Amino acid sequence: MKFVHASDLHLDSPLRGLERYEGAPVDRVRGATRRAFENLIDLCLAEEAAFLLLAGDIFDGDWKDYGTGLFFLAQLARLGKAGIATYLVRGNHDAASQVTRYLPLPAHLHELGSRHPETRILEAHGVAIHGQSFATRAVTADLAVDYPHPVRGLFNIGLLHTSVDGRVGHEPYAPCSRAGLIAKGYDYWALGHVHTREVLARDPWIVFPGNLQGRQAREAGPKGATLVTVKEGRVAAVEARALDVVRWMSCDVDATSVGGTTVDEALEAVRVALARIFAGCEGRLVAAPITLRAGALVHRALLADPGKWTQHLRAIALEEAGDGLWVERVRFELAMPDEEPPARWNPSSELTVTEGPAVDEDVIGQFVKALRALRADPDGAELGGLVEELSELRRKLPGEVSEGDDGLRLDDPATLRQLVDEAEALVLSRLGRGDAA
Amino acid sequence: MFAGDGIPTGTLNVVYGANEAGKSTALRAVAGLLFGIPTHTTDAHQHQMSDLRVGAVLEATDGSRVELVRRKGKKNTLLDPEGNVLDEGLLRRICGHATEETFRALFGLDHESLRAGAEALLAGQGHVGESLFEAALGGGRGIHRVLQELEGEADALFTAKGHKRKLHDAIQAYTEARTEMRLRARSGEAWQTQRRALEEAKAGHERLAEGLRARKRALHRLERIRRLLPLVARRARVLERIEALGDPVLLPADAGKSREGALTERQLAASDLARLAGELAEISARRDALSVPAWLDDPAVARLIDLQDRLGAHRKAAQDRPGLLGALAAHEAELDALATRLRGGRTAHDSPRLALTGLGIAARARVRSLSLLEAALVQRGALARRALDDLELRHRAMAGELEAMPPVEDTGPLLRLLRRVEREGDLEAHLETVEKEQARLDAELERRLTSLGLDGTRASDDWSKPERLLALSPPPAESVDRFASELQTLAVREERLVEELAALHRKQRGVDRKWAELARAGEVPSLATVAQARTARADAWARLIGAGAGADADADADADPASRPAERGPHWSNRIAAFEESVLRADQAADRLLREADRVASAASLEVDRREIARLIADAGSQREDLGRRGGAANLGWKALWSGLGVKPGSADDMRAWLRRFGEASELARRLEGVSLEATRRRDQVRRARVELTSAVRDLPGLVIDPAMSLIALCERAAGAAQARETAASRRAALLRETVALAEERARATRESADAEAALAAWRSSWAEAIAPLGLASGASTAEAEAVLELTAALGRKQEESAEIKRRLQGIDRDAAQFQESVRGLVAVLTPDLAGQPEADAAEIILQRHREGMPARQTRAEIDLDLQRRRQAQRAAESAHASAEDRLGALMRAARVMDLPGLEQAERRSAESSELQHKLRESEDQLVGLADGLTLEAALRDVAGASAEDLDDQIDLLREEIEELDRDAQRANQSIGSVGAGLRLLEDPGGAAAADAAEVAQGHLARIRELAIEYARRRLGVHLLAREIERYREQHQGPVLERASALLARLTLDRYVGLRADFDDGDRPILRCIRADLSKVSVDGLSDGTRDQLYLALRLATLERQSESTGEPLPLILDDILIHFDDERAGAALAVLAAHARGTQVILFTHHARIVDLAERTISPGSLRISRLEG
Repeated sequence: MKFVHASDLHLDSPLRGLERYEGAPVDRVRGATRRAFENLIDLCLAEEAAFLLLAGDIFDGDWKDYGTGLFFLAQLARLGKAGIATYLVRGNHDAASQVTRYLPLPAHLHELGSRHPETRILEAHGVAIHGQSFATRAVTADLAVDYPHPVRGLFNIGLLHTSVDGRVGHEPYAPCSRAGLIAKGYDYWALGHVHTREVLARDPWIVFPGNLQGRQAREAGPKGATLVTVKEGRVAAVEARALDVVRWMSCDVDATSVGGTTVDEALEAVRVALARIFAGCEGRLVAAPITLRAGALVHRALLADPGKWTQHLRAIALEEAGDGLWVERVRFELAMPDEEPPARWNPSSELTVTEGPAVDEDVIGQFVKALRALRADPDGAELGGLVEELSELRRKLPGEVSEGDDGLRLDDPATLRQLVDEAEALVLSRLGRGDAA
Repeated sequence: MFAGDGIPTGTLNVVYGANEAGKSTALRAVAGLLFGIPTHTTDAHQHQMSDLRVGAVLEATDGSRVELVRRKGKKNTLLDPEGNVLDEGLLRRICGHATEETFRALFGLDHESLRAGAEALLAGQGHVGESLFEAALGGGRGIHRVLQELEGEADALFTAKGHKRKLHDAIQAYTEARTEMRLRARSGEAWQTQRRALEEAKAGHERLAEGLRARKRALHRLERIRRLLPLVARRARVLERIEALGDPVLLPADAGKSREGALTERQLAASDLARLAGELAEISARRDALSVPAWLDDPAVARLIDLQDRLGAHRKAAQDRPGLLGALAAHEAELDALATRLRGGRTAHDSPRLALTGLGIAARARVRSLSLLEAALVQRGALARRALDDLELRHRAMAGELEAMPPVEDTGPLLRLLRRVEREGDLEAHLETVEKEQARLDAELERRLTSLGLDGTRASDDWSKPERLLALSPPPAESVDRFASELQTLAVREERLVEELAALHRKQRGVDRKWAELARAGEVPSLATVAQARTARADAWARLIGAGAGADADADADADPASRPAERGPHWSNRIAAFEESVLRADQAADRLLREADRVASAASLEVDRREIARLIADAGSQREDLGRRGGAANLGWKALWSGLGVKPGSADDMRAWLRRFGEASELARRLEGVSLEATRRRDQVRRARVELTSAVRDLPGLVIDPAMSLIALCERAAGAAQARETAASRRAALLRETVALAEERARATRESADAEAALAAWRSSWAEAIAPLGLASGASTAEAEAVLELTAALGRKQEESAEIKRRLQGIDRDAAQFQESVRGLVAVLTPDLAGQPEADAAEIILQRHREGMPARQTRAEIDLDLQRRRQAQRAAESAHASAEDRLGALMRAARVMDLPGLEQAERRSAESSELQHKLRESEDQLVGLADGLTLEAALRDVAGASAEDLDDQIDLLREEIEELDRDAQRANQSIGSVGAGLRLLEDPGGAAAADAAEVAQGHLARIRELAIEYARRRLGVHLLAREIERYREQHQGPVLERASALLARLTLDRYVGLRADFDDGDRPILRCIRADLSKVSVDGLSDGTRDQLYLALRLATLERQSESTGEPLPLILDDILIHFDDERAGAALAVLAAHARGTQVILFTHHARIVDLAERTISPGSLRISRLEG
C-alpha cells in the first residue's frame, strides 16, 4: 500500500520577488502552484496511491478568489474517479481562508474536524488516520496531546499542522514536542506548516514534506511531496518526490575563489555557476537570486553601475538557458580581502621600517572610517538620522514592500547598514577610489 | 627619500628634458618601482620586456637605506641587488598601503590635474568644504560633479513631488495590478448565492412546465372530440339506411354483367349456325364436279421428278462415248513412242514402265543438286590454288626488303632532352629580353641617382650597385614629418609674433599720438596737482596761523582773521595774500580736476595702455628670442637627420619629395637586382642546354655541328636526325609484323586448297551412286543424267492421262444400265401399257402424261381443305349456344328467381346493400384514424353527449391559458440560462485571472524594491559624502586656510593677501580671496591662472598638514605644472616648492628651459638641484 503526504500547497499564491525584465520567462512562472498541484495528483495516479494526505495550508489565508477552491476540487475529482480518497486538516491559513468557507466537499474528500481530534478507519487498507483541523488562525495549544490512542492492529497515521517545538521563520502554531509525538505510538506523523522538507524521526516516521512549490528565494531547492510505502503494517520506504515547476536556486559566486580578477572573469564565473544550476534542475524553470562576491577592484567596477551589470548578468542567463532561467535579483558583495602576509624582510637590510602615512589619514580613509563608525554604532542613533533622508521615499512606498522576511524596511538598522555599505562603494567608485575600502 | 647621487634630499629637484628625452619614462619608472611595471608597458624599446628593471635606493628619515630592484613580471618582482625576492609588504607599509592610484592622486600633480582641480573649484563655486575636500582628494576628480551626478540619478528614480519617475511608474503599475487582482477574485459567497438562484429558477421552471403539459393534454382531447363529431353523425345516417333495406339476397358485384354477357353470347351463336349450313352445301357440289386420273394418286409418281433429270444425263453420255474411245487410242500410241526413245526400240508394252517412272522424287532431286554442286566445287579448288601462289610471291618480296634494312638505334634520351629544352621555351630570346630590361633599369637607376642630386662620380663608383643603394637608410618619414611639423609650427608662430609685434607697435604709436594730442591741449590735471595745491594751502594756512598767534595774542580767536588785515602788519597781509592765493589755486586745481575729469580719465587710461603695450612688446620679444633658439635647434636636428646620407637637406617639402624619389630609386634598385639575378639564371640555362645537346648528337652519323649555330638551329638539327631514325625503326617494325601475318595467311590458304580437293572427290563418289538408278554409267556427265530425267517425267504424265480416259468410259456404261432398270420399274407400276418400249421413249411418254393430269388434282385438294374448316366452325357455334343457356340458369337459381326480370330486380337490391356497408366501414375507419389510438368504441363513448359549441368555448379558454404558461416558462428558462452562465463563469476551474494579476503585482513589487534600493543608495551616498565634506571642513578649515592664505600671497606676489571663509547669498560657506586692498573676490572672479595658483596653494597646504600628522612623508612629484604661470609667478611658485622641499622630497619634471632658467635665477643654489635628461 502506498500513500502520498503533502502540505502547504498555498494554491494561487504568487511567487515573490521576481522583478520583470525584458526576456524574463513571465509565461512559465504563471500558475506555478497550480501546476505543482497537478503534478501531485499525477503522482498519486501514477503510483496508484491508496489515499492522499494534506497536512494543512492548502489556500493562502488572505486569498479570496473562489476559483482557486474550484480548481482544487476539479483536481481532486481526478483522484475521486480513480477511487483515491483525500484526507486533510486545515492549517492556520485555511482557518482564515475565505475560499474554504463555501467549498462543498465531495464524498471522496474527508476533512477532519476542528472541535476535537477525529479518527477515520480505512478497513480496506488497514489504516487509521487521526487528525484535527485548526479552528482559528492562531492555535497556540498542543493539539497532539488530545489525539486518540492508536487503533490496535491498524497502521496509525497522525495528520497535524504544527511547528513542533518551533521552526525558524515559521509561526509557533500548535506547538508540540518530538518526544510527545513519538510517545503517541503512531506509525507515521504526517505534518505540515514548515516549508522545508524535514524528517524529524524514523521510528516512528515524523515528516514535514515541505511546501509543494517554492514561492520565494528563501524557499530554495527541490520542493514536492512524500511518497510512503507500507508493507505488512510497517513503513517500508519514504521517498521525497520533487513536483515543483519553478525551482528557486541561489547562485552564490565568489569570483576570487576561482581567480577572477577582472569583471569579465567574474561574470564568466557566474555564467559557469548558472549553467551548473540550470543543468541540475531537469528542465524546470529556475528562479535564481545571484550574489556575486568579487575583489575590491572588480567590486568597485560593478558598483559603479549596478544596473548595467545586472542587465548583463540577465543577458548571460538568457544565453545560457533561454527562457529556462529567471534572474530574480542581483547582489554585488565585496569578497573578504586576504590577510596581509607577515613581512619577510631581508634581515641584512639596514632600513628601519616605520609605518608610512596611515590610510586613515587620507581624506578617503577618513570617510571610510567615519562610515565604519556609523555602521558600528551600537544603538543606531546615528543611523536614525539617515531614516529622515529616506522619509519621503518611505511615505510613497506601498506597505507590501516592507512585508515578509525579505521585506525592505528602510528604518531597520540592518537594512540601513547594508545601504550605507552600498552607498560607500558607490561613492568610492565614483571618486575612483574604491580601493581604500 | 628617493635619493641617490643624482637627486639630493632637502632641495627642489628640477628634472629637465626635452621632448622624447625620457621624462615621462622617468615618471613611469617611479610608479613602476613602487607598484610594479604594468603588463603592457610601452617602455620596452631598448630592452626586452623580460629584461626591464628599475632600481632605487630608499632612505628613511633617520638615514637608514635599502636598495631595491623591480623587475617586469607577474609574481615576485621585487628583488634585492643580488636578485633575491623581497616582500612587497614593507614597500606597501612605507607607502601607507596606498595603491598606485592613491599615490598618483595625492603625491603626483601634473598640469592637467592642476587645471582640473581649479575647474572643480569653479564648478563648486568655491564652496569651502568641497574646495578643501577636492584639494585633499587630489586627482582633480571634481567632488561637486560627483555629488551632482548622484543627485541627478536619484532624482531620475524618485522625487517627493514628481510623478513621472521610474519608481512612481512602478508604484502605479503595482496599484493597478492589485486592483485587477481584487476585481478578478471570485467570492465564495457569490458562488453560493448564484447556485441557489439557479436551483430555484430550475424548480420554478419545472412547475410551469408541468401545468403546461396538463393543459396541452386537455386541449388535445377536446380538439379530438371536436374533430370526431361530424364523422359520428354520418355513421349514424348510414346505419339508418341499412336498417331500412332489410335483408336482401346478396349477389356478386358483376352479376348484372354476367347476365348481359350470357344473353349476347346466345344470340351470336344462333346466327352463326344458320350461315354455316348454307355454305357447306354449296362447296360440296363444286367438288363433285371435278375429274382426276387415278394413277396420279400412286406414291410412285414421286419418282418421276428424278426421272426427268436422269433422262437428260443418259442422252448426253450416249453422245460423249465414241469421242473418249478415240482419245484413249491416241494416248497409247504416244506412250509407246516415248518408251521406245528411252530404251531404244522397245515398246511401251514390253518394258517395265513403272521401273522408269517409279524413280523417286528424292532421288531425282539429289541428282539435280549434285549436278549444280559440281561447278561450285571445281571453282573453289581453282581459287584456293591461285591465292596460295600470290602469298608465296609477297613473302619472298618482304624477306628481301627486311634483309636490306639497317640496324636499329635508341633515340629516347635525345628526344627527352629536346622536349625539356622545348619546354623551357626560347631560352636565348628570354635571355635577350631580360638583358635588355637589365640594361634599361641600370640606365634608369643611373638617371634617378643623378636626379637625386648625388654626386655623379660617386654614383658610378659607389652607387651603381643596387645593393649599396639599398644598404642606405634614409630618415624615417615620421622623423621628417615631426621636424617638418616643428619647423612649420615655429615658422607660423614666428610669423604670428611678427604680426603681433607690428600690431603692438601700431597700437603704441596710436597711444603716443593720443598722448601728444592730450598734452597739446595743456597740462592734464591730476590728483597729484590737487594734492600739491592743497598741501600748499595747508602750509599757507599754517604759516598764517603761526604769524597771527605771535602778533595778536589777545585777539578774539573766533574773529575772522581776514577781517582785520591792517591790524596785523604787512607780514600778516602778505601771508593772508599768500594764503588766499593758495586757496585760490587749490580750488582752481580741484575745479579743473572736476571740470577736466574726461581728460584726466583719458590720460590715466592712456598711461595704462602705454604700460600694457610696453609689457606686451617685451613679452613678444622674449618669445621671439625663444622661438629663434628653438628654430636653431630644430634646424641643427634637421641637418643632422640627413648627415648620414651626405645630402644637404632642403625644405621639408623638398626633402619629402626627395624621400619619395629615393624610395622610387630604391624600388628600381630592388627591381634591377631581381632582373640581374634573372639574367644570370637565363644565361646558365642556355649554356647548360647547348652543352647537353652537343654531347647528345655528337655520335649521330651524318650530323655536322657548327659551334656558332644558335640553340634553336641546334635543336632543329638534332630533332631532324632523331626523326629519320625514328621513321626507319618504325618501318622495320611494320615489316616484321606483316611477315608474321603473311605466314599465318599462307597456312590458311594451304588448308583451303586441300579442303577443296577433298570436297570434289567426295562429290564424285556421291554422283556415281546417284545416277546408277537411271541406268547410266558412273562416268556419265551431268548433262546426260539431266536428259534421262526429262524423258522419264514425260512418260509418267502420259500414263496418267490414259488411265483417266478409261475411268470415264467405265462410269458412262454403269449409269446407262441403272437408268434403264429404273424406267422399266416405273412402267410396270404406272403405265403397263408402255411395257416393251425403249426405256428412253417410255420415260418420255410417262412424263408427258403426268404434266397433263396434275392441275385438276390440285383444285380438288384445295376444296377439301375449305370444307374441313367450315365444319369446325359449325361445331364451335353449337357449343357456345349451350354454354350461354347454362349461365343464365345458374344466375336465376342464385337470385332465387324464375325469370329474367326477377333476376334484374334482385341485382339492384344487392348492389344498394353493398354500397351502404362500404360507406359504414369507410366512416368507421376515418373515425378510428382520427381518434389518436382510441378504439372505435372508446372514441364513440368519448364523443357521446358532446356539443360543438361547448367544445369551441372550452378549446379557446385552454389555448389562452397555454399561451400564458408558455411565456412564463420561456422567461424562467432565460433566467436559468443567465444564472447558469454566471455560475459557469464562477466555476471555471481553469480561470486564474486573479492569480495572474497577483503574480504581475509581485513582479512590480520586486521592481519597486530594487528601484527603492537604487534610490536609497544614491540618496545616502550624497548625504554621507556631504556630511563628510562638512566634517572635513570643520576640522581642517582653520589651519589649512591659514597656510593656504600664506602660500597664495606668495604665489600671487602679494596681489592676493589671503583667503577667507565667507557666506554666499544662500548662507553657504564659500571661499573668497582677499586682494591687497582688502577687497574680496569669489572664485569665479579670479583669472584662470590665479585659480590654478589657489588650487596649488590649497593642495600644498593640505599636503603639509597631512605630513605633519604622519611619519614618513612621501615625495611630491610634479609634472610641468608651471607652464601657464607667467615668469614672475612661476618664479614665486618655484620658491614655494623649494620651501616645501625642505620638508619632503619634491621632484619637478619640466621640458621648458624657461622653468630651469627661472629656477636658477630664483632659488639659491643650495636649495636647487637641476638634472638634465639626455634624449
